[in-house]
Amino acid sequence: MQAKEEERPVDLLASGHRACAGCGAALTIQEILRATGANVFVANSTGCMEIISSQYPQSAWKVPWIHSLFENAAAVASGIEVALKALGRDEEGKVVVIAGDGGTVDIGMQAISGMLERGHDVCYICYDNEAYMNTGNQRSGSTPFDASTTTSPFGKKSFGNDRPKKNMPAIVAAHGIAYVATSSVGYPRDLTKKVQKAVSVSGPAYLQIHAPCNVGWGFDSAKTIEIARLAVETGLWMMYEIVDGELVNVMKVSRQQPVEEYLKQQRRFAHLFKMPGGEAQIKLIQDYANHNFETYKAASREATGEIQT
Amino acid sequence: MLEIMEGSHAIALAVKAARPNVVSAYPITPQTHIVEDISQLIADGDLNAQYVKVESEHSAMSVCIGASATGARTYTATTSQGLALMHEVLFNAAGMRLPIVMTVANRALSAPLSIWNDHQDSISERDSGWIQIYAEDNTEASDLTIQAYRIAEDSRIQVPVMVCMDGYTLTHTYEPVELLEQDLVDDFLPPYRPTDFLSVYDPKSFGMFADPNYYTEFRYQNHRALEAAKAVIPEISTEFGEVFDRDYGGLIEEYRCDDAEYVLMAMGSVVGTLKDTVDDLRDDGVRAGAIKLRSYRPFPADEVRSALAGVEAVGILDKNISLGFEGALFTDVKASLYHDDNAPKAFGFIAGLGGRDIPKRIFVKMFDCIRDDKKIAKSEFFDLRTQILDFQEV
Amino acid sequence: MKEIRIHGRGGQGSVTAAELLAVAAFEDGKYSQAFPFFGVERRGAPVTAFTRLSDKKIRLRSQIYEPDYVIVQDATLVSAVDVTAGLKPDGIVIVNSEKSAEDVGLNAGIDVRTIDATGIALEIIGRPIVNTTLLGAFAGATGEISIESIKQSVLARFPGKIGEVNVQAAEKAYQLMAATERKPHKKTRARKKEAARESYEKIPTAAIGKPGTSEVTETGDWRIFYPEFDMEQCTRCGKCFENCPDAAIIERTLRGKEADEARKRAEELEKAGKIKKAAVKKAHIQYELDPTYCKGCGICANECPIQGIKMKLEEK
Ligand SMILES: Cc1ncc(C[n+]2csc(CCOP(=O)(O)OP(=O)(O)O)c2C)c(N)n1
Ligand code: SF4
Ligand code: SF4
Ligand code: SF4
Ligand SMILES: [Mg+2]
Repeated sequence: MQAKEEERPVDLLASGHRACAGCGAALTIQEILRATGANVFVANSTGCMEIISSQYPQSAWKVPWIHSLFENAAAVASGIEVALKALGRDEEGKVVVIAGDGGTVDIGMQAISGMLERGHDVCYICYDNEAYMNTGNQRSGSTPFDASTTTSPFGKKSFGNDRPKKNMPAIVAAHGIAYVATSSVGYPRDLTKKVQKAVSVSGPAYLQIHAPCNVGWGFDSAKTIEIARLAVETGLWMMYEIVDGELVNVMKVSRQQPVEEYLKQQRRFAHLFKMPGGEAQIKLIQDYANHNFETYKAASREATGEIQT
Repeated sequence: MLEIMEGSHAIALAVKAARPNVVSAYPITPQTHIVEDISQLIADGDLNAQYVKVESEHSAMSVCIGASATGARTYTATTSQGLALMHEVLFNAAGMRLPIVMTVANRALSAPLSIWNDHQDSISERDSGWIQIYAEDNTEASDLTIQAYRIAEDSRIQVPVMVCMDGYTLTHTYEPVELLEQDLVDDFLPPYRPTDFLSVYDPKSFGMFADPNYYTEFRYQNHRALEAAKAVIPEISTEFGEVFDRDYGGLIEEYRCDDAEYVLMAMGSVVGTLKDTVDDLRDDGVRAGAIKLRSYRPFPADEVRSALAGVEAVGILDKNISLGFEGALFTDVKASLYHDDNAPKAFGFIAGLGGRDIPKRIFVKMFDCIRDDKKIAKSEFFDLRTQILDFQEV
Repeated sequence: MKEIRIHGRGGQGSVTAAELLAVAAFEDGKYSQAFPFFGVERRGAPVTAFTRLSDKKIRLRSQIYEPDYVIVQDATLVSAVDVTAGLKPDGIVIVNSEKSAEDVGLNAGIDVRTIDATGIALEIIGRPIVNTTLLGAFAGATGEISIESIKQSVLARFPGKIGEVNVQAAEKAYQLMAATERKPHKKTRARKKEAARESYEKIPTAAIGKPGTSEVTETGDWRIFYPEFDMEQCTRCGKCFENCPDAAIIERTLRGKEADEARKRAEELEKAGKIKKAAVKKAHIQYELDPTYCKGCGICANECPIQGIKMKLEEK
């Protein structure tokens, strides 16, 4: 019951959406939908991507789409999935959650855990722009260490966000689901491949996609992709898969960049280059990046087989 | 056909007869027996539905939203803290105009924690956009469950419905219940076939946001739907009566009100006790009457007003309180009478909170009170144990 | 009381401008009030902000419907929004445009002042941030607020170097504006634009939308820069297309004669050593800008491996 190939609209997130120019998250969604095709049901949490795409009466979505609340997208998706089963329509399409980092790692945590543990056939995708952008760049559990946000501002007594990023993929993986992966909008082919894998898994799958926000992070809108790649090249965003509980396919970085290359281009880290003691903080961030490379490399194994579908 | 069973079991059987596609619930006393019985029906293959054992009531309602938007008939049940946890999602479900049906096994709200019955939980969700109907006994609660789907799914309505039944007093009480014959239910309640639902073949967007140019109109439509329910609820009740031979009337039920001078109003299972009290008083020559409020939202202001025409005084029992003011029903009844020059005197009584029993003598006392024309400005706590209070009245 | 309405685009600092006006007026000894139209707009989308000035305490809390002054931060808004709606008969509209007042597309009966604030800002501040420049222009054109107070409010908000260049830009705009004559006001009242943008389509039961209807919003209006493609050099790698967040680059496959011609041209280019052989094979694929939606973010230009896309300042 696949929609005919030629009937498929190419861009399933239509133009005219109101994302800021150069929005990494909007591009992420564009690429997700290119990878999935039209046969998906999207449950979207409250946040930037919901707001920029759904001001009544204009919708940017060309796939069936629902937004209910901030923290319940995983539960709404569970509802769609069981309804499709109950109505004998489960061949119609795959249920996909698209949610921000706040809606995922913070307020949506409980609903996600429930969805994963119950084993719903839902692909959960978190676009990670590392803060609550919709409400004006407040810190989330996914905000990186030392990033200055509106609720974790730097100041005389603060270097910004004083906690490291929550390791959500590990938490998700602990639910024992078949497929967990991270990707980045800076690597479209990787992203496409992983989205396709994630939707082909039967049962829950989780994908967290790094999606720079030029407005909140403070960089030139042209550099969204460049910044995304730098995050990977510096080791501040790791790209990997966890297949059946095993860490595999950690993306190799041929030439590791110093973290300064990434930090110095963003307003949210600018204070580290000006404040007394900033250097030591940058060193901490470098240590974190090095640690990332080492631990992921040590744990990683190349994937042996195809993912079970 | 009558069969004796627990109230919760009657609800489970009614749910089964309604053939929901998706059930999603989280256990909480005194709703638990309902969802346990439904689980057993599914486990035994007697009910063919997807049952999502969610991790919270917030998710229970969210699952219902997702499923209902996909075109499924959905059911859930909760009470008290669970209902309060759903608060945000309740408004959302109503605003999205999804015909979800929920049983509320009425219970008090914490703190202090109380697992016992009153109406504070559902009354606190008064403005959520859900239709609320209160049952007097287990047959009515069971029958209402079937009717609720007809009301919710009616193209003129399309809002979710709460069937409120008193926790313990009904849910845990064994009494004979009229069984719902499946073939009759199937005739009365056809499968759910919405016009708008999520589908890849006609990909609509559900749950868009509305700016100030649109929000008011969507709210207005939602309001009009509840107003329309004032006609649809009695209409469906009548139709139900034709099929099942049990008609509960409309939004209110008047009991011996024709020539009544003194009337008490109440909701839920306590109305039975009230009716008995009225009979006793009638035997003593008092022209007493009772009004059972079935539909709390929409509020049947016209019906209440005409039922009270010619009545000397009315007392309103609230098993809830809007702290700092008075009982919610009392406020609504008075508002309904405001434009009526011959409105009866109105008295507000708060009683039966957190499971405190309301025996007949309390009602007798209430009747005495309104007959004596004792001046009461606000609702009075009527079954207060003043002996254990340790503070100065100000 | 004087009422000012500011039309801008998200990210242009319209709300800041309204606030700075209010602060400056307060410095001048007036009561003032500034507030935005509370919206959810992102960078680039039309936004509105309001300022009231008065000698007495201001109690009014409604939006402004009959402004004395309108500031238009972006000339493209003139065709996108009814910027003169409700303007008082002797009101003034200040438009950021390099064009003359007659050419910005507003009714001839209206007192329009134009100023190339983008030019001034790029020259002095180095970025196309025009709000402070326009405040200087406002002071010059209306005399409602002293330029000293404007400068003071700008410096208080943006201390240091940034504040100083902003003040310079404001000063320059002030001088330019103060030098322009006030146009004698013609009595023809501004013709009310049809409320064309207001839709009377009946609403459904719930806020349910139809797929892809966002396409009526022409986000191309948002951009300041636009990408210019050099198809001759293009290797057809598709990077621009795949990285556009707004699906504003169209991938077209030429067929038949068109494809043959494209191949021929590519072969010539290859002979001339301008492109590689691989690109010739894909010569029938074309990448075109869809100006209706391009927001001018510059990602495509940044990602094009051969720097075949250049960002150019949009004429406004
Ligand atoms: C229960 C609740 N709390 C708070 C909010 C306000 N709110 C809306 S979106 C949002 C942040 C969204 O952050 P994220 O999920 O990271 O998405 P983003 O906006 O960054 O894309 C917040 C705090 C809300 N809508 N609901
Ligand atoms: S604030 Fe950031 S994430 Fe939100 S729309 Fe703008 S660029 Fe995208
Ligand atoms: S400038 Fe940005 S919006 Fe315009 S075509 Fe390039 S990538 Fe797309
Ligand atoms: S990125 Fe440059 S080379 Fe590649 S297709 Fe676009 S214009 Fe051509
Ligand atoms: Mg976020």
